[in-house]
Amino acid sequence: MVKDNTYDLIIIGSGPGGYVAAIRAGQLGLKTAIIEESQLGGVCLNWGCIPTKALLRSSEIKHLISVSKDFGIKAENSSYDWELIINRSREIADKLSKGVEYLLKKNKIDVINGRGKISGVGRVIVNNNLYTASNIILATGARPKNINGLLSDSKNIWSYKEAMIPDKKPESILVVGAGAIGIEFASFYSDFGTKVTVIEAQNHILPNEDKDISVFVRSKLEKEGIKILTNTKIKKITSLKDNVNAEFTMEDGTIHKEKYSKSIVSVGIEANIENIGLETVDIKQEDGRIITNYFGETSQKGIFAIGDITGAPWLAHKASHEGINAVNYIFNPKEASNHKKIIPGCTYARPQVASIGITEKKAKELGLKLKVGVFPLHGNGKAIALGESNGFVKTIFNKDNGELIGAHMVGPEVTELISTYAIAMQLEATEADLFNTVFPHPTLSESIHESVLDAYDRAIHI
Amino acid sequence: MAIPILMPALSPTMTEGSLAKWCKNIGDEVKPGDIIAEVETDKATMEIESVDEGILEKILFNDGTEGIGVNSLIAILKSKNDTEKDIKDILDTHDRADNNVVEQKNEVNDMEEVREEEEVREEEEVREVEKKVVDVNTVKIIDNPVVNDGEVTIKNLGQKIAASPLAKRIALQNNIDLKHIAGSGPRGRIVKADLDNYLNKNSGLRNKSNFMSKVNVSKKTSSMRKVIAERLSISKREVPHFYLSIDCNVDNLIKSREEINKTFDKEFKISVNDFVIKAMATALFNVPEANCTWGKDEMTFFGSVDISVAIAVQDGLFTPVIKNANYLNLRDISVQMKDFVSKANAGKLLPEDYEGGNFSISNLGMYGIDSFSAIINPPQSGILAVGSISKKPIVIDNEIKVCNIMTCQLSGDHRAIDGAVGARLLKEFKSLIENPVKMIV
Repeated sequence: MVKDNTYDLIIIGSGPGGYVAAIRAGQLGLKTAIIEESQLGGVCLNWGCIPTKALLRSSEIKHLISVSKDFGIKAENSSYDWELIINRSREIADKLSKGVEYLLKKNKIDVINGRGKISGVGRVIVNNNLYTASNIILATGARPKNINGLLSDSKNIWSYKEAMIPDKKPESILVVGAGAIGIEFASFYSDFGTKVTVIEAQNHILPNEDKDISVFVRSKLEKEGIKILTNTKIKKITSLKDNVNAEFTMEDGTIHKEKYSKSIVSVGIEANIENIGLETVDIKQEDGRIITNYFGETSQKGIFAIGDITGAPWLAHKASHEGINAVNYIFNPKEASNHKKIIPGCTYARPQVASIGITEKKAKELGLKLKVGVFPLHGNGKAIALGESNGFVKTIFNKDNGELIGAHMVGPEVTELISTYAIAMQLEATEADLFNTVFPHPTLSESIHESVLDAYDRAIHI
Repeated sequence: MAIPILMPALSPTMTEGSLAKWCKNIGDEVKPGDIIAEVETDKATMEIESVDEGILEKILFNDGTEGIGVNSLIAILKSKNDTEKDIKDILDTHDRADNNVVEQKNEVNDMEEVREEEEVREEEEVREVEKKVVDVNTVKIIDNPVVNDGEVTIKNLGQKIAASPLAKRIALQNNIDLKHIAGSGPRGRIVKADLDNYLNKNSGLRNKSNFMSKVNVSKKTSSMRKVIAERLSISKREVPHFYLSIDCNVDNLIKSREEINKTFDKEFKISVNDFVIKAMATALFNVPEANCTWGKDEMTFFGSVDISVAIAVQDGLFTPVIKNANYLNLRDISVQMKDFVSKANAGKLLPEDYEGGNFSISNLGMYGIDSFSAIINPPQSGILAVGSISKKPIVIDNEIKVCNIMTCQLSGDHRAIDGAVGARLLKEFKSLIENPVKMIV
């Protein structure tokens, strides 16, 4: 029997945007195929979010053991096995990739291995086979930005991919770019004793975060022994036999040259829009990203795009959300919900950083009148009990109507805590609703309540 | 976003209007500043001017349709990127009467021929929605039919309105009744975006009357306002006011003041009001039967002439007292007044500064007021309301002359003083203010 290559929906790319969209389509009974040329789960699951969290868990445990005597625990002769640490991270990535495979099967999604290319509206070619669908979702993601002289050579100059699978721990590392990825690797390697230098072209590390957070994280990382150079631009990295030679322009304009064992380049990413057949259809692009409407539809009816190829923020949960949103719209445009999308962001360094909404600086640029609350974690009982009372929670309200417009957190498990703000913002809670909410004691989450109270000069434990 | 065009409120009392004439047809391009339609009220015909640009996509009422409620959707502007959903959203959001919608379809059909296939589909879906609205009306359910997601639901008939806390607050701050808003959130919940749309919509149309009102602000009544309210209410309720008005030629006063002020430093300059205080005090001294207060059993005639002078401050006024003003010279009065004004503005007047007083002066001349009727400050028997000085032609010795005229009006307590006494007092005042030399005596 000839295989039926006709679908309601074909999704190109199985990252957190694509596979989640596929599962949602399966739930709705759409006949769906997903095309993946590499591993199911995409970068996030195989080479991003998940394996790095596994690595950071190892460095966190190592750190906890190093301070264990503060907690009355003696663990003098601890050591680590680098290979096991890397293997554990890979095993977790594999496990989750298999999990995606299972979920796709469960939802009756056809998985097609190979590179998918659009060939006109409603047509996709994979391995010289033609597949047709009334709707196509592009979810091809992004890759590290290719900047001259910073090309990964897979040996000494690393992208995130090589950085999470080295044979052995390097003596020293130069991290170029102090965004979330750069800072997470800096934190990880530093905790294992690598001499880490971070350079950032902008005047703050984690440049998208609120300035107070950036300044705080910087001082913490510097205390850990990480060297941080802001307003510093990379000129050249040369890969030698076993190390790299880096040249960069310092803040004062002088040129600095130094050797490092390895270099991690994390200077941003760019969308995978090439060689997927965009030229065969009429899809509007801008600055290397695909332009979509609220529901992810491109200028070409019937073709949608979700996740990193549609632009910043380049985050897995944004891709998943857009995927579900697009599929709901494809299934029934009338039922699709026209809600606002508020995307939280997390950095899993030590300390953790989490934020949602806009920064204080941005709010001021918008001309808003603000109520800003800041609660330091040394006023939080649970944080003190955990021995992790370094950090704070900052909450920003619009003074005129009590709208919650931003929250910025640094400290233990703040990446878990940010969801409270996400719900409050989605439900449009005002300061009064947050005042009235009962937070359990003793928890780190009480710091959210206190920060909200502080914005109106009502904090209790300051 | 597609832009809804609503029946504007052309006056605060307007509840409905008539569509006199459309100045644009369906499919016409509309630019900011273009006149879209003329709207008629019982008072006037006014033009609706667009501040947005787009294509006139739908017209919901024909020329001459009467009785269209304020804020009813009358037309929709479509911009380039709008989808069928954007148009439908607007239709969903607005209450509509069924008038003329059916006739309107013919025009829509004409348009369809030139459209591409997809757009035709969109149009059909929109029409489906319209049909349902008509259905609703034919079954005589006319209370706010709202079409939602293709299904007819009757909203807000006494049910609780679902709205986010922030949406509720914005509605409260902007005096918006949530009944008028269709929610776009889960299960029709009203969210901030719906109110933002509503507010944008209402500011999206400009016409000659400003129908967006500012937010009402509640402020605690200050104790000063309470005192003013209480005393003046008593006065207006219990004191039978009578009013006498007189024009004073102040040419001499202006000349004298110039002469005097030539020799004074800036901070000691004598004001016109200082002259008025001195003249009134002298007049009261010369007409002592006017310087009194009413009592049921016995009236009090004052031994001194203490003049209360009204000074406006933020959120109220003070009336500090120039005691024995008849005995003080202009410079003394001027110095005291300047002191009172600075103290009043700093909120530093002491009770002894403003307690007592037998007669008041209120001067609004500096605001350009010609003349006004002041309320007596009990238990006093009179107050002089002083207007501005302006050049007017008057007849002197059968000749028209241009003189500086200041109109003064006396409010008198008829229980204590009669018209004749008041008239004598004003006559005396006039003679002094017109000939300031007399005040020296």
